[in-house]
Amino acid sequence: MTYVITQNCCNDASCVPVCPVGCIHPTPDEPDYQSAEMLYIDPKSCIDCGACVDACPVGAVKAVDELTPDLRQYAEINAAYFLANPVVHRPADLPAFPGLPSGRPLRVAIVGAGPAGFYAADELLRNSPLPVEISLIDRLPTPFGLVRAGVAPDHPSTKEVTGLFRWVLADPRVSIYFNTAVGDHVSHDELLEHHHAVIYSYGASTGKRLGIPGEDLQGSFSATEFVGWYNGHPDHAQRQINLSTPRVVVIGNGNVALDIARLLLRDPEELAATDIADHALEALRASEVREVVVLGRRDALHSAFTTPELLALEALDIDIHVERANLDEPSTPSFTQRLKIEALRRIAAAPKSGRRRLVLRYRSAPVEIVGDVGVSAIRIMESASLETGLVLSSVGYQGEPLDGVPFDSSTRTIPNLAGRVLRDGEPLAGVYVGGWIRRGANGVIGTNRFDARETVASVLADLDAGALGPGGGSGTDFEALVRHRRPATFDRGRWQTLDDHERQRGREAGRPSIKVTSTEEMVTLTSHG
Amino acid sequence: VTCPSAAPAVEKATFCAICEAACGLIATVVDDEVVNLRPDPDHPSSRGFACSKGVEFHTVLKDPDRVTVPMRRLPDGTFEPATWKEAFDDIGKRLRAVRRAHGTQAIGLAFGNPIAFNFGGGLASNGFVTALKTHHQYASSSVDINNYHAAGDMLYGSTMAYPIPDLASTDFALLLGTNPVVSKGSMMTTGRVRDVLVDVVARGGRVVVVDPRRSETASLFEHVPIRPGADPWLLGAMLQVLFAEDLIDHAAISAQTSGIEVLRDIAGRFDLDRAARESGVPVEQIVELARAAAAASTFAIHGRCGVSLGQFSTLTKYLIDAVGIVTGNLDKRGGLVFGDPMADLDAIMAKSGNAGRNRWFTRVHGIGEINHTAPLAVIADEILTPGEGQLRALVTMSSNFVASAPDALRSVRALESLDLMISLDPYITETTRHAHWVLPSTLWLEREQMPIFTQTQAAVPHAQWVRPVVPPRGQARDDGWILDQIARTLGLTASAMPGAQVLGRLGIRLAPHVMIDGVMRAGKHGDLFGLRRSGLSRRKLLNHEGAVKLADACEVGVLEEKLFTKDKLVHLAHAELVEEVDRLVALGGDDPAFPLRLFSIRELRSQNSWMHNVPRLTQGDRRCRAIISAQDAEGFGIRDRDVVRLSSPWGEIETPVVISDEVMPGSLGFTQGWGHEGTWRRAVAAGGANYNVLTPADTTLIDRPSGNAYLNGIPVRVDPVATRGES
Repeated sequence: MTYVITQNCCNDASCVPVCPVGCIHPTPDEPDYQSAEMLYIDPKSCIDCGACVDACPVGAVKAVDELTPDLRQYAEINAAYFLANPVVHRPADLPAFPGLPSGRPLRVAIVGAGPAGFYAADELLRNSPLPVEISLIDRLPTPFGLVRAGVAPDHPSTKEVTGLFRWVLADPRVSIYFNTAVGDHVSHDELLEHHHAVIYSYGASTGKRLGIPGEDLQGSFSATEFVGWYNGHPDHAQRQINLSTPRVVVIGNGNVALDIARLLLRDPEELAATDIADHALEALRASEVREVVVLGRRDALHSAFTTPELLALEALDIDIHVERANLDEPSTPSFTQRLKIEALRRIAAAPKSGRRRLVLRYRSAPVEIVGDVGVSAIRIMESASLETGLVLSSVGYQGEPLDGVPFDSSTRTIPNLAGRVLRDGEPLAGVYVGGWIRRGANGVIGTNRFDARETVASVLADLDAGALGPGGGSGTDFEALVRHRRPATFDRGRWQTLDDHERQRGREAGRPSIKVTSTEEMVTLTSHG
Repeated sequence: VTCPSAAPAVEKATFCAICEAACGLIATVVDDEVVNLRPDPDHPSSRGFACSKGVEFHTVLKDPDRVTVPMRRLPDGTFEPATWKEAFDDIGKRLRAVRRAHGTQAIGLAFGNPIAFNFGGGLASNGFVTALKTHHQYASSSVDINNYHAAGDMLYGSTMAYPIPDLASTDFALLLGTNPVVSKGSMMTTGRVRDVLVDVVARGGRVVVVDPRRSETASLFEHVPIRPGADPWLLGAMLQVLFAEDLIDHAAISAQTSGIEVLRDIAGRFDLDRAARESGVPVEQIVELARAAAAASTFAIHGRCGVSLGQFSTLTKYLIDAVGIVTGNLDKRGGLVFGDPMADLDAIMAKSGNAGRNRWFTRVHGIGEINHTAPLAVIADEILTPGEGQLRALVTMSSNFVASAPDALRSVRALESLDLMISLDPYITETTRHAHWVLPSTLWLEREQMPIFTQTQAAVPHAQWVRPVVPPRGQARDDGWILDQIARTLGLTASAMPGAQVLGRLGIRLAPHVMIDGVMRAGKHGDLFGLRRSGLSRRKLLNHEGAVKLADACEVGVLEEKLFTKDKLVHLAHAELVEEVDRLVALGGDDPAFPLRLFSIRELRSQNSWMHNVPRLTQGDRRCRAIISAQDAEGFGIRDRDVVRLSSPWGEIETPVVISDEVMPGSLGFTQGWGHEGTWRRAVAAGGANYNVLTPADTTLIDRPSGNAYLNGIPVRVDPVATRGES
């Protein structure tokens, strides 16, 4: 027996400190961690204690004898990692016990209730030497950021990480101000006045632009917009997406591109039991899409998707074609590279049977999106153009500036050192940043735990050094201010009303939830009277 | 593992004494310190398995919060270190004062579950109360397994007799109120129990788990949800079907049992429709389970905490065994078998009269003793009720009964009123913080060990006897030594051995291992004091690295030698149980004010509370919580993860609640072992609330034949607590 980490590993490494053997790698302290697609358990050293199963927030750890057919290959993958990366196991060092908090409260505002914000709150709640009071602010009425609006609806286990976040929301030390926008309803200076520290963790909300002609034609969308559409994000739910085209072209081949392809190609009835937005489900049911072409600028070795996401496609009832790819192994492949190339080879060689098609096309940089009003084709360097009525660019996300907060417009992030926000190279007292708006749009959900750990460590070091901001104020005053400026602010109770409504509707329909997709409706549903 | 010094690392084989799985371990020792524990791949039972608790136990040894010198409580409630001499001088003075005023019958002892793994402590406890001639000995088995003892006494003629499920060979395992994937099994020592159960299914058999919650075990196998406390209804109804459809094994019954007609009458009392209503298990499913149990070529049935802590736990255990017996599965490969211990101490206990019940009754409430112990459900009343024999001075040994025994608040009130309290414990806890003295005991790894308890129930019989792996930390001493020193302050010897008091006065004290070694050497596996060279002795085992396998499996066809009844039959007829059925059947419906039934949830990285200060076991998202179905949550107007007021007729606490379909409607699960107090910082910082604030120490509600506490299935309700952030 052994336990095995499977497809939906979130890399937050909750399993690492609980493992009494230390046989889960790469650990966050190891150099491979940043680039790791997932974590792995060494079957030779696992003692079968199951502590990692208990600790995993997304149910990704399974006993080897429980693996369903689609996950069975992970037993071999876990074992193979250690053949490629021999490592001496030792139990992870544990953080020093912070003691029981006492003294006057430390007040912290966290702007952005996505994974980065929740992990930051969790770190503060666990490690602050003072009793902590957190104001958790988000411009939307709903929390969870990209876990709600980004993670594909057919990846429900990935969303189980919200189980952890829900505990943060329920913590009596956390005050909730959703549907409240910093900049519009409350300013950066006001946050600083009412808190000792402000952590910005509002993410990267805009799709990067391709910078090619035709990008603004009808039928050309960013992945952010398309994913937001099928996930019912209020900013994107109203978009008109026309699926009456036999071919969709996705530019960029990261995990988001594969999510999009999967959603477009799989049987919509399999999505009917998920929390996909109703309008998207209807559109997919009427879809005429038969083929999705995913374009990679470089060669197969540089595919941006992770291997587990590629492997998950194999279980679908679709044909997968690999085009223009060099599938030779490099002379000294990394474990991840070899895994990926081997999977692509197997997929390329698999028999095809005329089903809906996914084409993974390499060495294919787009040069122009062609069309009059709407998209009709896309022209690709060194080859003929592809006819298509829908082009989705999935080449990454970028951050947006916020009034009063420094911003680096070249990297589209907030300049910082270890999470301390810098203005002209000098730290701004009491201002911190975490998550994508700090480091750029990279990494997976769990990466934010370590990002948050560093930011919070900076906050607590500055607390210790007396270097936090001059503000502080009181929770009562801040609540009064927000309620005055934004009567439609959502506290926890109001969000729960919405959450219960969505989950209740879901239960009735045999789905995890049925999302409300417009802010107005969210406000109306939760209004008194 | 990095070595702190140039001293060589030495590996020593031992075994884990946290839980009944008793897994083999290899300790790496450097400079008299255990630096690592790992599973023993060659252990015949655990076969290379160990859990995250066992391999972390060395961190308990070196826990900075551990009590390693005698600690005296100061008037402000804090503790200061003292010497052993100061401790015994003060204790002696106070004990003698208690004796002068109230006699030795006013002195008592309560021990916790680690004593089941501590032969020296266990023998000394028995010796201590025997020497004092006191009835105040309280055992954690009364919040755990007294129902096994009572049912064993009735069915098999000894409180120490109970069969174990032969899971390794069964075709059909029916598990009630047990979660062995998490607990690793109890009242059975089956190494790698999860894998053994998975194998049942792999070879075409069935594993059915009856539990109010879709537990970790239930999720792996077939799950039958049941209302907490309703197990006797399910079992009685299954028997009703077995008799009505004549699915019973007449040959086995006539060869093995007496009193079948009484069991038949009892079964007849269980109306199927009512049983379905009471248990929440549909009639068709009850019938199917009964037929399948009869049809299976081998059938092993087992129930644990979930079915041992209801109001009718002896009846339940009797019905469990009865289902196994009438289907012809007793003393049968793949059915229910009897253990084959290295040293048959249970037989000695049974024959010497140490084992037994109802030979005396508690001063308050008149509850029958079991193995010379009184139930924890009466300890508070014994302390608080004035009169001859009132308990005035209490020694606790490895016991955190404020956490584990019913009516925690009453326990605290009682402890605060004692003239003297002495605690032998590694931690200052919600229980021991009330002691005048907390005395440092050795822990396993620091003392000699043999599997005194689990040897009798090992599915793969084996023998092991190990020296201390490392010397004790600080001033820690063995419980037996400490108890004996306490007894000496009264001029007594903490031993129940004949002549011990006389020898003690001469300064001669027999080491606790002498008796066990003697029993082993004279027994089936022993060396007959040299006559059988291949046989076991303590000395031989101490010099052997690791465990010795005695057999691949427990023998069958041994019923006669395993029974303690004079007629060598299993006795099915008991008026006491007929009365229990009368009582069960007469019970009315639930109190509408408390419509939910509470049950405890066992967590993977927890066992007894000593695990709750271990750094690695407290990492991650461990939380005290209640779990409720969406249907009930809606009915009570509570929402996911809200802090709620959870109340029973006996107490109330506040806790966050999770809404989940893993618990059946009408029931509410709550994690147990939270809400610690004292100076163990991580345990205290974990917060949470004490389960036993909700449970009754009312002896009219506990299991009558055994005195086992009523902790599962108690009526509760939940109510929203208005907090900030509600709109």
